[in-house]
Parts: sequence; C-alpha cells; structure tokens
Amino acid sequence: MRVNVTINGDQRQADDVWEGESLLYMLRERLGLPGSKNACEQGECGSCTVYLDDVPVCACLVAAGQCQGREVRTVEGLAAGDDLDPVQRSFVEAGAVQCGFCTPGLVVAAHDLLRRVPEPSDPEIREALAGNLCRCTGYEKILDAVRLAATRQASGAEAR
Amino acid sequence: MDFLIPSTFAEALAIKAERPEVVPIAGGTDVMVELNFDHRRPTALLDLTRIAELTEWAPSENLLRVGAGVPYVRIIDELGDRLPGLAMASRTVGSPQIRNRGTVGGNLGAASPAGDTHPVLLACDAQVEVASVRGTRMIPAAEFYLGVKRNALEPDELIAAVHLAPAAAPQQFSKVGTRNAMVIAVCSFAVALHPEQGRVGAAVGSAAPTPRRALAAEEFLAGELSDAGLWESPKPLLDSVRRRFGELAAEAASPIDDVRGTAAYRRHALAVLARRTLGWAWQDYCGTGETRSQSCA
Amino acid sequence: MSPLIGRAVPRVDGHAKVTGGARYAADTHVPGVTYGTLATSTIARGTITTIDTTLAQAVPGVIAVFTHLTMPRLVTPPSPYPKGFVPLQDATIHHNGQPVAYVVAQTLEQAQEAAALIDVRYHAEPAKVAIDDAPGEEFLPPPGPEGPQEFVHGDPAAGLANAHKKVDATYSSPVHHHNPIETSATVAVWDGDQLTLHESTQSISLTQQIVAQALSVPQNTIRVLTPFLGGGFGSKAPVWPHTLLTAAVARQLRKPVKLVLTRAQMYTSSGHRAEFRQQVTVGAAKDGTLTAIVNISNQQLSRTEQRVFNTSESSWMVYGCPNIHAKQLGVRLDLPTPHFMRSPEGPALVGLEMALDELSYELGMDPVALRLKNYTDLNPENGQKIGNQNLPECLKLAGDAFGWSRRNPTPRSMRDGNELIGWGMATEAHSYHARASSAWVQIDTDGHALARCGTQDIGTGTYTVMTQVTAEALGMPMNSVRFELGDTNFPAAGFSAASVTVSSVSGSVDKAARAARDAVIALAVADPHSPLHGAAPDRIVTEHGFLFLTDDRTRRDSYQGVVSRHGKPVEATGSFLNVPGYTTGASFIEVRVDPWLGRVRVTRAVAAYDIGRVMNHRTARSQVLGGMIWGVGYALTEHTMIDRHTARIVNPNLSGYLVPVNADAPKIEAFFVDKPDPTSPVGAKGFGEAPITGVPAAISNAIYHATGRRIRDLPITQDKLL
Repeated sequence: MRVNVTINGDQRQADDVWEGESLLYMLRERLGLPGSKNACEQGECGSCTVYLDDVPVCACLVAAGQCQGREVRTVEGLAAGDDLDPVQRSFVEAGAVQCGFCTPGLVVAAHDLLRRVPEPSDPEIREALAGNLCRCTGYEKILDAVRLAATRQASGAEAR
Repeated sequence: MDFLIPSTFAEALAIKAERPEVVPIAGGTDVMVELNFDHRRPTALLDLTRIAELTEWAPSENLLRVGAGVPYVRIIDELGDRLPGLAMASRTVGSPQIRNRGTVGGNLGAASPAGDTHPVLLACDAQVEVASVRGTRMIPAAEFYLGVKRNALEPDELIAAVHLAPAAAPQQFSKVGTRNAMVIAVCSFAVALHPEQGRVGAAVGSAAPTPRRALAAEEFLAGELSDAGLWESPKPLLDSVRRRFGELAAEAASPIDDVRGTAAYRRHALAVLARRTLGWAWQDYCGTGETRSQSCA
Repeated sequence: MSPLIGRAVPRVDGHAKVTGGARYAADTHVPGVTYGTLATSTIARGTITTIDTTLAQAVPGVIAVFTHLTMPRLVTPPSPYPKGFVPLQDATIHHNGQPVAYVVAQTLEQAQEAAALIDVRYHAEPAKVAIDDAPGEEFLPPPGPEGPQEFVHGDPAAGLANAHKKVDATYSSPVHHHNPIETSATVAVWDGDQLTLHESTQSISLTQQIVAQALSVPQNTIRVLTPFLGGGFGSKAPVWPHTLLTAAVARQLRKPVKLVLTRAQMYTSSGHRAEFRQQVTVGAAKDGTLTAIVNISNQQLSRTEQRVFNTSESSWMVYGCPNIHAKQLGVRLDLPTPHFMRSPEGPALVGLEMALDELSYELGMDPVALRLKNYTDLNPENGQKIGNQNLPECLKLAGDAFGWSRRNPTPRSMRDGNELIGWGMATEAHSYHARASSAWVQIDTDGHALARCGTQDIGTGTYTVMTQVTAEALGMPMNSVRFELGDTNFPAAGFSAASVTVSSVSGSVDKAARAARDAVIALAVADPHSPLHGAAPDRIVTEHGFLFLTDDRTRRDSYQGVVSRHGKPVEATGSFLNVPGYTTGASFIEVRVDPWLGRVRVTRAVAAYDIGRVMNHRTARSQVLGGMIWGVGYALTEHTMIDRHTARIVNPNLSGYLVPVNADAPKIEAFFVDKPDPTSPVGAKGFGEAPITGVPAAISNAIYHATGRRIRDLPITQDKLL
C-alpha cells in the first residue's frame, strides 16, 4: 500500500508498504531515515521513540498504515540545521552518549519530558525515561543531561 | 494482508461481521509485537485509531463510559480523580511511550492474565460494552475473562467501551514486579471500597489463568466491617483482619511458576499486597470524613 | 605534560549520535540491497532428516533459499573462530537456534514469510542444557590462550588444615546474554572479487581474517567497515556464523545482502556467559592472614568447542596467599558456544568475594581489613610486580567516601522504617591483554592532522580519547585533529575487547603522532624560511599548533606554516605492543530491602580504581557507571532461562531478560588513583571490564548484611529472600 505522511515537516510518500509493517521499518528502510533504531521490536527499549502527532511513541509498535496523513518527527528533525536542540546539546556535553544506539530514542523521550515538565525531579526523569534502555551509561549521565537541558531552557526562557 | 481504515464504529462493525478473522489494532502495543515477531499474519488489520467515538469518555447515567480507544495516559490525566484505581493501574503500564498508545480496550482484547487494568475492573464492578452489527451488550468484567488470552467476545464483536462508577470511596492497586519500572506483573491486586453497598471489591491479577475476584476475601471483610459498624464509624482495622483478608486474597489465586516468579512467591506476595492495599484504602476512608478523622488518628 | 589527556572533553562523535547521523551497520544504505533472514533449528541435538523449501521458494519476492544441501561450501576457520563448525554445511544440529536455512528476498517481510514456510524434519536426540543435567561429566579442558586450566601454588591442603577459620561454599550464576542495544548486522556487498562488509563488530581485522578463511579468498580482497558500534560487551568480538553465511550468499547471488539478527536470534547466535558454578574454600589464621584459597569451578562448554571463558585469575592475582589451588572444569552441553561477556573474570571473583565476606564474619573481622591484610601486587606465577596495583588506596578512597566506618556489622542492624538497610563491599579486578596495533598520522598543509587506526569505538570513547592522544602528542588543539577508525584499509589494530583498546592503541597513535611531529620539526629546522631554521630539534616544543624554541619563545613557527611551505602533507606511522596487566579497585554498595516482598533496591554505590593514568575522566567515569549497572543486573535480575525439556530459551527478549532500567540505577560515585602506569608510554592501563567484577558480590554481601540471608545462587530474585 501507499502511505503519505509528513516527516520532520516534509511531505513524504512510501510505496509498496507491507500492511503489517511498522512505522519504524518504513522510516528506516523506505524513507532513508535510519536515525531511529531497531533493537527489540516490542516496545521494551525505546530506541525507536519518535513523535507521532506530537505524542512520543515507539515507532516499532505503530503500523505504518496508521500514520497515513499524520505527522511524524524523528531524531533527525529535532535540530534546526547545525543548531542542536538544547536536549541534544546537553546529551553531548553531559557525557550521556556512549555507544549511541539508544541515544536517538532517549533524546526524543527527554525532549518530550521537558516540554511537559520544564523542571523535572530526579524520580520524574527516571520514570519518564524508564522505557528507554541503555546498556552503556548506567543512566546517571542521562539524568545529568536532562537536568542540564532543563536549566538551559529555564535560563533561555528568562532571557526572552 | 489488507489494512482497513474505517472512520466510524458502524463501519468497523460491518467489516468485523463480514470478516470476523480481521485483527483490530488500536495502540498496537500487543498486535504489533506479534506481527514484528512473525507470530501471526492475519489476513487483515482493522485500524481503530480513526474512530472518534472510541477515543472519548463521558458520563453515562450514574457511570462513566470510557471508550475502548482512550489511551492510558488520558485515563491518568483526565480521570485520575474519578477512577483512581484504574488510573493507578494505568500508571504502572510499561513506559510513557506505551501509555501514550495502549488502551483499556486493548488490555481487555488481549485478555492476558497479567494485564494491569483487569484487577481494577473486577474490583470496581466494571461492565464491558461490546458491539456487533447484531447489537450491543454489556458483559460484567467478572464474566469477561474466560482463560489465558481468551475473552467473551464473539468473533463478530468489538469492544466499544468500559463502564465504571466514579469512585465514591478509596481504591487501591498495587503490583509486584521484577525491577523498578517497565515490568510485567509478577502478581497484582486491586481493592475498591463500596460503602454504599457495604462491601469491598477485591481482585487478583497475574496469579491464575485469568484475573479473578477474591470472593472469599470480599465476603470476609464485608462481614467484619458491618459486624463492627465500621462503615459508619470507621476505626483502624485490626491487624488480624488485614492479615486474614490477605490470606483469603492469596487463596483466590492459582498461580504457576514462570519466568517472573514462583507460584509460592506469588501467593505470599498477594497476601502482602492485599494487606497493604486494604490498609492504605481504609486509612484513606478513615481520613475522608470530617467527623471521622479523629477516630482514625 | 599537557593537560589535554585526562581532561573530561565531550565526545567528538557526540553530535553525530544525538542527531541520528551516526551510521551503524544496519543503517547502511546500499542500492539494490536484498534482505536475508535465518530459519533456525527447533531442536538442540540431532540431525535434519528432510527439509522442504518448496513453499518458501514460491513466496513472491524470494530470491533464494539455502539449506545445508544447497549452501556454498565453506571452510571452518580455526580458533579464534569460536564455533567449531559452520552451519548449513551438513545435517547435524548442535544447538537450538542453529541456522538451518538462509532465505534471501526483495523485502524482509517476504524473507520472513518464506522462512516460516520451510518444513524441517529432525531426528532429535535427548539434549542436556544445564550443569545439573550432566553430573559427573565435567572434565579438565586443555590449556587455552590464558594458559592451563589448573593452577597450584604451595600446599593448599595444609593451608586449610592449619586455618583458624574456614569457609567452604558453592556459588553459582546462570547463563547471561550481553544484550547490546544494537543487534548484530551484516551488509555484504561484492564488487567483482572484492567484498565490502558493513559489520557490527568489535574487531574489523578479525572479521577480515576469519571471513577470508571461510571463503578461501585472500584477506586483502575484503574490506570491513565499522564506523559506529551499538555496544558489544563481548558479543561482537568474535566472528559468528551469520557473517560468514551472509558473505557467502551475497557472493553466490551476486547481490548485496543485508542480515540483521532479531533480538531472539541474538540469544543463540552471538555467544553468552556460560552457566557457572564454583566451590570456594578459603581459610585464614586468627589475624586474618589467608592460609589457603581453593576455587574449583565448572562451566558450560559446547559440543563443538572447549575453550573456557569464565576464568579464575582472581584466585591468585589479587591476594597474596601462600597456598592456592584453582581448577577450571567444563562440561559439554547441547547449547551454543559460550564466549566472554563483560567481564569474563567476574563470575570467579564473585564467588571469592562472597566467600571472603563470609570469612570476615567467621573471623569477626571487618571485611575491608581482611582485604587490606592480604592484598598483593606480586604475581605468584613469576614473583614479579604486577604494574601499579594500588588496592589499599582504592579501598580507602571508596570506603571513606561511602562512610564505611559507620557500619554496624551485625546483620539486620540497620533500618529505615520498614526497610532493612545493608552495606557490603568487594574487591574488583580484571586483567587486560596485549594486542599489537599500528596507526598513521598525517599533517596537512592547512595545519590540520588526520589520524587513522583500524580499531573500533564500541561506545567506550576511542574516537575521543585517541583524538586527545594525537592532539597532545602533536601539540595541537583538539579541533585541528580528526581521528578515524573502523576501516580495514587503515593500519591494523586488535579487537576492542578484553579491556585492551586504550592500553594498546594509545601507544601506536602516540608514536605515529610523535613521529609526524618530529618530521615537521625536522622540516622546520632545515627550512631557511622558518624562524626556527638551524635550531636543534630537541630544543623545539609544540603547543596549540605552533612550534617554539624552548630557549626563546619569540622564535616560533606553525604546523600550517612549515607544512604549507613544504608543499605536501607530512605523514608517519607508529606501531606498538602494549604490556598486559591487571587492574584492581573496590566497590561499596548500599541496598534497601522490603522484607515482606523480598524487593531489593541498590540505592548507593561508591567505587575506586587504580587504572594508571586517567585518559579522560568523563569516559573513564562512564565505564564505572556502566559497569555498576551491569553488576546490579547480574546480582538481581539477569538470567537467561532455558527450558530443560525443550532445550529452548524461554526469555529471548527484553521483556523477559531483565536489563536494569533507569529506575534501577543507584546513585554512583567513582574515584581514581590516577598515577601513570610505568609499563605504558602514556601511562594507561586497561580498564573497561574491571568495574562490574566485584559488584554482584558487593550487592550480595550487602543483602546479607541487611537481611542475614546469604544467597549464593545469583541472581538474588525476590522469591529467594522470603
């Protein structure tokens, strides 16, 4: 089947999509957007987290056909050109990135958290990111990154 | 495979009548796993996410009617005050990403014994509204679960909604997992106080082929509470009552050993969960009435 | 020394990774790529009697279905290929999940549908999948790369007989799987007789070597690329059959083929930590001096390989004991070949460190004091000093930060409300290997440097640390240096495993960069247009991209000036073989236990290590944080369960195999002694695997302190604490 979907602001069309196919497969194998990672295919690891109509979801658990006419935003669409989103910048600077495979999903999940809760407590961060498995970092620097991004956003908001 | 996108519930029911083998999909949190793992290849998927009426909730007579497609996150955000037990169970489902997509309707459709909302639906006397082109019927939650991953739906039926009374008294839900988040229940327990009926609803999850009401525990507690006149003038429960309630709750289970825990552990933990959740709910009940707060201090 | 090495600079590859721009093997886009999938055995032992692919071949889009009858013949590579056989070469089944067919189709969905339609019939034989299934079948395997499987020092029997107190107990740990978040992927692209492999591997050079052996082609016809790796933890260090098979079918079909293992296939295709059991007997004199350490272990081996991976170096390398006996038995089971997993020396140390905790209670002695009494920095095999080995300082750094002196040693003595609190500790220790490596450094006419080495960055920070090493050796700012890796066209290096990357590769990169710097200095002093013309080369220093005369800093030139006048880039190479060594540390753990439900939370962890010179405090600390959470999983949740009747893995997925989540992570503090190790040119020791080795024991010891329950069979699940 054919799926028309807006991805990172661009109108995209995917052809010959298998009806049982996931949004993740369509992104990675048909639309040239391999930033979202495939690691468990059961919603356990969060590496494929993307926004679907502004709501973070596991792209592996969304049927491609369910995205017809909807808007998807992936990790590739968070930065404005070379200008990293504060969450992305904080992940780099806090050392929250190691092998990097869980990072795309974590960045999207953390981005969503800070939109909902601008100054999250540590338990709120841990809970919000519970669905994003990381096998390298021990999670601590991911918390540092979210705290750093929150501080940055707060001071950015004050500056405005 | 076909991908069918009805825009109304009537359209979906017509398809289901004509092709009962189609697999409904909403949040996809169960169905897509089976497809990704190639555990099944249905002839068609029936996408329910464009049907507006499934994603609404509204008062219906004395009850709340929660559409089968309302995701957990909205139950938590929008119904936490009126359906506290269901909201508590919803909070323990998977991760934010899962709660953004998964639905109570899906939980009922999958009918996994470990589904998190089941014990709450049982303890709260929920009714499941199911529909087909033949009409609509209401199935009490206690009659909905037939076996491991089997429910009372006929092949041409779809789940339309669940109906629950807004909580008039405290409700509690608790589950034991194997880590601190992202857990499938080892076992779970829900308790709902129904003072207007002079009884308590109680149910166990993930500890039998189906979620189950803990009837003996309910009856024992109803007797204890009314004999001592505690509904009218609440006082802290005796430890012996809470303990007996826990034992009876555990006896409602017929658990197995599996990857998440042993049968013996499940029985033990259920008794602890039942005792604790009853304690929390009753403490809340003592604390809610203005005149009661002193007596429960 | 310039302060660049050691500085906690952010990762140079961070930008690519947070934007989704880093390309991992499965992300590789190749025009016309076809999709491979494996059909795998549903029995653990026996033979294929018939295999019918008719239905599979009829699926639209299917290009080929290879079985053991039709697969191109391959050579079984010798060790270090860990498998002992190549699947699809005959009808014999050695383990559940062994490939029985390889399907190639236009799309993955078509390939998977076809794979499900293959009708395989087996003659199944009874299978043994647990150590308990094979009592009395254990044997002493032949010596492996680490040496003999038995080590005797002094007179252990006499040592035990003379002990004032003894502990004799059995400790066990289950099968574990690495579960890197990236599953293994191979994209094989042939161009004539040249093969390019986009591979998720911890060793591009080993991949090149083993694939060449299997396909009987010259090694230089194969190029392996791994610019990014989504974690490995040992699972991607060897070359596994799926890579060989993909290269072979791509050659046969003359089409590019992409194979990505499913998560479930990762449980039978890329090694695991073997089930492990050990009897540890330790004895001590009244003052705590150890009189004997006896560590007799048994672990799973496969039917086709007998290399022992869970090794017992810790029995003789950490504590100075006059009488030691370590024996590493193995038992053949009908399971895939095990391999090393972060950290292979962990299991044996875990038992030893639990036994020492038990001994401390027998002696009425503080467990830290017991370790201080007995630590050594001499290798009993040769009596030589083992490099830097500052365990006492590690114990002090971590113990003080933890507040160990406030501990009441009595079990169940510390509470907070209904929760029991426990404090436990353990020594951590791991050897690191020696690997040869070479590097190439070029300084261009624009004054920028490019360094290349055929090593890997498995997430530990090789890109960043080697950029630091290059920049420091050259005397350039980091942003003038680019470091590239993960390409067999670059000078070769060893695998990124066994904690060897930094200690090995930093030497060759440093040498190549110094040689390039010296070449530029030589050009400058010979160049009449240079302010440094005629100066003695050894009087010239390089800093921030400039060359100065030490005696007169007003006489200066720049890399850009010298090399641009030279008119062409300057390049140099360097090679290095690091000295193997041993790294120690200590971890201190706090747990909180709900006594009614047996729920354990690890709430605090403090660790300290002697890792020689710290190359980058940020990436080094990250290794500790990561190792700590691995220890939490090892102690509390991780367990691959195998059904003893069907020989199948029951939980081959991330919902059943419980990797710790964010909410399971404790608050962690890490300290380093940070003194350069004399055996390394830059002072670095191998480190990656030391953190985690003692953590499971420290957690178990803390749980004992909290509850009074000594659980010797890991993981300590809640049912065991009731």
